[in-house]
Amino acid sequence: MKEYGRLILVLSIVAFACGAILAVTYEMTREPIRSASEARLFQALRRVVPEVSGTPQPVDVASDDGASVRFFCFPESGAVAFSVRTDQGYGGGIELLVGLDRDGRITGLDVLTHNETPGLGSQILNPSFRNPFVGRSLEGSDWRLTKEGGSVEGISGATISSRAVCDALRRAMTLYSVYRSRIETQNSPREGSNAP
Amino acid sequence: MTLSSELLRGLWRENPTFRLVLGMCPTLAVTTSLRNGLGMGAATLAVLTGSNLVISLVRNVIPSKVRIPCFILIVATFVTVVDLLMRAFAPALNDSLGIFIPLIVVNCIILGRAEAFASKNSPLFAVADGLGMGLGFTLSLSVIAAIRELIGFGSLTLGGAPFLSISAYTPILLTILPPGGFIVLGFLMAAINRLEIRTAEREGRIYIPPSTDCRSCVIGCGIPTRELPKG
Repeated sequence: MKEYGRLILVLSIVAFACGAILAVTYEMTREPIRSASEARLFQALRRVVPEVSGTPQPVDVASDDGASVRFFCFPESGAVAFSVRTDQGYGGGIELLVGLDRDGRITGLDVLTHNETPGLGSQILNPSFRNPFVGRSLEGSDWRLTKEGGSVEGISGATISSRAVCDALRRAMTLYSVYRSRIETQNSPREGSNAP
Repeated sequence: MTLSSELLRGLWRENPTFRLVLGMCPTLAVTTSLRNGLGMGAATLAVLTGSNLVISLVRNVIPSKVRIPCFILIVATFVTVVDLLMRAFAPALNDSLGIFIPLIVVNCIILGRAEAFASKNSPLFAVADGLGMGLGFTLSLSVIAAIRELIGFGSLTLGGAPFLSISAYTPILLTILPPGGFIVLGFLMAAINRLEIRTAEREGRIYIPPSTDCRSCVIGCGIPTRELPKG
């Protein structure tokens, strides 16, 4: 009985000490982690809207189904960036950050998260796949892959991943064309007031 | 037993991947590129050295009946702290290594070294063992990853652009896919065994596998083992 007491005591002390260390570390790192992830998002925004200066303003637009979509607007140039998700990837979800200029043309595209096969589907990260999308707009370009009669050069061996990216982009641009007026009305009157 | 011999042991004679065959899950899963291999190795090196030190420090106060849960708690705490600190203060490093950090908890090298070495030796030797084993693991992972990347992509990349690439070469994608991991690991292990046996023959002695195999294991998993044929 005495031995069991000792075992329970030692294990409890170790567990308590570990818990305390974790609590302190969590408390200590919470703020730096938040600002680091913000800086990371900011860098990604810079990459997808490269030729624009100024601070991006987050604008939350309520969608019809009750959820809200967050757009990052660059007030000086009218450019906008936002993330879009698709579940049509080969390994599940792909999350993209898309940048559009005032006229709704793609200025840049960044893969935020993906689960594609290394060496095949992961080639969606390559600039050689992503760059040809720059300059495209919703109208006036065929969003199918070349082998299906469209104009997007897919990755050989990764048709599903390529198609998923096209699909996500097309949905992103449809989303933008639907919410465009709402973003503009929400952004202009309170310009600067909703900065983080 | 000297400090330097403890340090060097992990590199070749008791290399965790090729000789002790520990930590096969991360070995096969992340060695798709040299960068990933190096990253996983470095992350494991840090956690292994730290957990070895702490476990060696508390080895005399932990009753043997609850040592495994205590070791797991210590290792898991270490991994979580490293994970949080990296996210907070080295976000760039976290972007490339982030996904491997939680995987370290399930790496049996950590618990294996805690049980077989750190819990029986002084802190200084435990740290030397952690460093040596970590370096050995990093080296093995980098070699496997470099071979897989070179055959599977035809190039080697560390930072941005490939620093080595073979022109006019059609990559064999199989090497990057999961079966390729097993194939490359198998060939490497066979080559190292062959080398060891040849060296032993030339020196006129009988080849004996590393001492840290099932016959001298103290964990006692209960699986019956039979005496390995010598030579």
